Amino acid sequence: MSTTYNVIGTRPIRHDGADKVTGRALYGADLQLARMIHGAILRSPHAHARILRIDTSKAEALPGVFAVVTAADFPPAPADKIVDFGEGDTLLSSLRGNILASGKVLYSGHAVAAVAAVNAHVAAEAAALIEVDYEPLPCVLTAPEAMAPGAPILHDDLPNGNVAELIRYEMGDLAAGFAEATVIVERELDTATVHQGYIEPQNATAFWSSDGRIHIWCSTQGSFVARDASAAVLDVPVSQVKVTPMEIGGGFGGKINVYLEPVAALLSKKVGRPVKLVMSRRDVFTGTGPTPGSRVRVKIGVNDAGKITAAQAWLAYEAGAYPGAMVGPGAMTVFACYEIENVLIEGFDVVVNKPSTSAYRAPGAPNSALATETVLDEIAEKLGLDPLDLRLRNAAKEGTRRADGPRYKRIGCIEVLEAMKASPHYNAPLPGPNCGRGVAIGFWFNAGLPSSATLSVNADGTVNLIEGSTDIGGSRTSLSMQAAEVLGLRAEDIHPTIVDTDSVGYTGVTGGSRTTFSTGLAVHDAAQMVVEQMKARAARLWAVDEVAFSNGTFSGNGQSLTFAELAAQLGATGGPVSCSATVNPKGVGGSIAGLIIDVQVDPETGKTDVLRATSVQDAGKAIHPAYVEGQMQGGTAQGIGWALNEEYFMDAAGDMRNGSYLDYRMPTALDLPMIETIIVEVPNPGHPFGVRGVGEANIVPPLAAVANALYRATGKRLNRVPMNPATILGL
Amino acid sequence: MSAKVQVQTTINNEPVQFLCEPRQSLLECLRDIVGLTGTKEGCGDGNCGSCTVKLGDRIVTSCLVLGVEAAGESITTVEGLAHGSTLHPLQKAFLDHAALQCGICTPGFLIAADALLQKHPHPTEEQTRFWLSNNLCRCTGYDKIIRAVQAAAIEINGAAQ
Amino acid sequence: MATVFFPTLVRQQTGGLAQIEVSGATVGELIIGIEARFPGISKHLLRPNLAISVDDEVTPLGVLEPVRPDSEVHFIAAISGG
Repeated sequence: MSTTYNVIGTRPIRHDGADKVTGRALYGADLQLARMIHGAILRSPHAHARILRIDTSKAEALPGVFAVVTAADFPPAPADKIVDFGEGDTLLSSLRGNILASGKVLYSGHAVAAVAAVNAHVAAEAAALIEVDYEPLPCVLTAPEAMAPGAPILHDDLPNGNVAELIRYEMGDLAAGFAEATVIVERELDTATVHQGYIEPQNATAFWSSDGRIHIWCSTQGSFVARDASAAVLDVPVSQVKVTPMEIGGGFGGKINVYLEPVAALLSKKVGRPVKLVMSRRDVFTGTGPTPGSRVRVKIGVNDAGKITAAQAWLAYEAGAYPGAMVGPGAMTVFACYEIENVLIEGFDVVVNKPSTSAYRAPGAPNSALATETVLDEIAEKLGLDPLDLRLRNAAKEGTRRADGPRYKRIGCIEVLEAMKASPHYNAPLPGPNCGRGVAIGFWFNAGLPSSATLSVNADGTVNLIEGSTDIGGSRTSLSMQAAEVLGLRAEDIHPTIVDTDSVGYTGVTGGSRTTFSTGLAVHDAAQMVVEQMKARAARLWAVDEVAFSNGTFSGNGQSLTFAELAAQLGATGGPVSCSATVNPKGVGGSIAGLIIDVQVDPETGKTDVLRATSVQDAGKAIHPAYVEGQMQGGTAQGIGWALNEEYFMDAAGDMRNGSYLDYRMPTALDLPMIETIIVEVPNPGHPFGVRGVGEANIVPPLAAVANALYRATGKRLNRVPMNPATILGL
Repeated sequence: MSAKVQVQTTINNEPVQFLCEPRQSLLECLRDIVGLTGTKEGCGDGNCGSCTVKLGDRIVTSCLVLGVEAAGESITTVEGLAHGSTLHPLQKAFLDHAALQCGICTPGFLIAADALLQKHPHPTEEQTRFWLSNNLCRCTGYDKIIRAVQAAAIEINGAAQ
Repeated sequence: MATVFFPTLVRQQTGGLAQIEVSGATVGELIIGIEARFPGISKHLLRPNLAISVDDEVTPLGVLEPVRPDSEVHFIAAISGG
């Protein structure tokens, strides 16, 4: 693998930059179509209730209203039909149930009906005229409460009350391992429900044509997943649905599921016009997928030499209204940074009367890392060891077996820890009283999944890139850079376009830290095909057998042409060159991330100031370092907000009382310092440029790093996240 | 639906007339009536800053301003920052410093930062953060945004003395 | 003979056995062999929310993935991400 690159590692301006800074870029809510009308959704005020009756007549009678839909408008389908988008199965009834409730409402905010009207104001007025008779039922809001005997039951068909799934991983002999330990620490912590907080609310516009084709425009992390999910919900073949992805204003895992698309389609079917639905901010909080609150318990034993001899975890995650709390990844990552022989991990996927949860960056991992990384911090203190040294003594490496079974290939855990130890931040003194420094690390798998790309050579020597990975953070540019590197061109010579589901091969979600890796592989493979075809053209031109290509130049038999020069002659040598590639790769490389954070706590008010933060992450290879830095800074900021202030404040009736950006307190520019970044590069052997995904692992350490820093600043080990002033002051 | 009001205003140095209902926000009027979708809605209640525009001599969250209040005023939106095809130094700085990831908050930040630099030609980091604290960004952690604004300040106003 | 590791919760079906050596050219053939020994076990191994890892890599081919005589096979939670 070559390690000096021409384009990779540089910082070109992003291709969509001019559009995005001038307001020209079109996000989902910006779409204007002829004859478009607007929708609104009526949501349940009850956290748990039977729906006895829905009367839409007054809404339908309001002037300006075109149609009303409820779950009764879904085409009939067997209640136990299973749908599979390649990420595990879901019952169609669950998928539909979350989009428009049927029979019961399971959380405050659960969508019950939708209206299409001449504008959004009339639609909202009409929604308020829909009469719904509910029979309220007792609700349950946390995993421990939902697991207790006698708890209200959400679904009659789960294996064990409100426990949808059990996870268990066991290795070695736990009792023997703890018997060998000289220091054992066990801690239990609770974390609250938090939201990904993307600034752009969900949106979807749909047009159900008289020819049966459904066209959907939306801001989504995965246009093909949106297509397949919408088709499944509407019980139509996928070929009938086309999704045009608009620009997307953040997702972080929360814009993978569909909420509005099928509803807009149903309304459009009734009316015969395009219908646009855009969520309000409160609807985003109560009607989409926050990430699980949890109770996590970890017990670790360490011997005199600082080696972990046994580790045990008990993880109960709130799935929200429907199963799928991502406790599996939480269980797989809880001890993933360490080489431990004796392990027992138990995980519980628990339904509660809250919105049905979605992924938030590395789903499940921050919750479990919180427990592990704070327990290790306590052990390090008891042993008089530097917290990074304790981790180094136990760091996972190539060949280490994880509790769920597989062994690591090349992994950068030691390199990240050493970079943290050597960093200027770690070696700087603390600035004053009531200050504390905390460290933590975390792991995320990253994903492969299918991707497709097409490259077409223009006569002027530039290349068009057609791809289907919606661009959340600059990926169209990092993909263009990979093409440029192979083709010997500049990033500016590649023209990327993100296209609809009819226009490119199947491409999985932009998420899972997979886009630069997997779509990058598709781009890389397509670029290599372009090179081979152009070599053949040069061979034809020069009447030679062998043509070499290096540094953007084709050469053979003493002659040479640059890429651009040969591109100008494609027409004369046989016609255009256009190559497509599809991948579904193995060779994924996981990423380790670390955070060093300094805080200062006001002992009177409990307010925490973040003084300094350094994010460290193994990126494998940073294609565009500024975008890698951006991912690290963004995940760190989100983790800090999660650690210090963010939570769903639910009242006893299960209503969210802080469903606005005023009271759901995300970090502002005034809450954070500059976030230093150290990119470690332990190349992933599975990718031609060594890429590991970077989007997610950086959110895994912050909860614990902040908790550890707060301990050093206050002397208190807190057992609840968010660690807000009330918690810090013990109120 | 109440009777519509005719509003005469100036947007990005151009006279504009539009009809709106009294209950429609300036944000809604800009986006859905005038067709300037560069200004974004993130929350509808003034807490995210995505809808920030310049109204007269100050910046406002246009979701909390009524369209009818624009009558006789001068408004600047993100579409009015560039000079023809030449980007404003702030726009260029945001690109140079990779100060956007998803870009949804960027128009609001650009308008707010432009107002900041007109009032404080050489803002400190703290002043910059304070002034921009009503503009939420969820992607970047603000680091590169602050750097871009400080770089633009030097570009526009020269180095601080 | 490839080694197939049973997920912890599936060990109830195998009398506590954590792993088994079995021959076959693909994961599918291995599972046929295991099913012969523990009837009914394959439905616990082949679930949509479990991914198949061969030689420490999740395979996109599922039961069609070839295995070598010294391969390791694990069934792990299918993960995508956010």
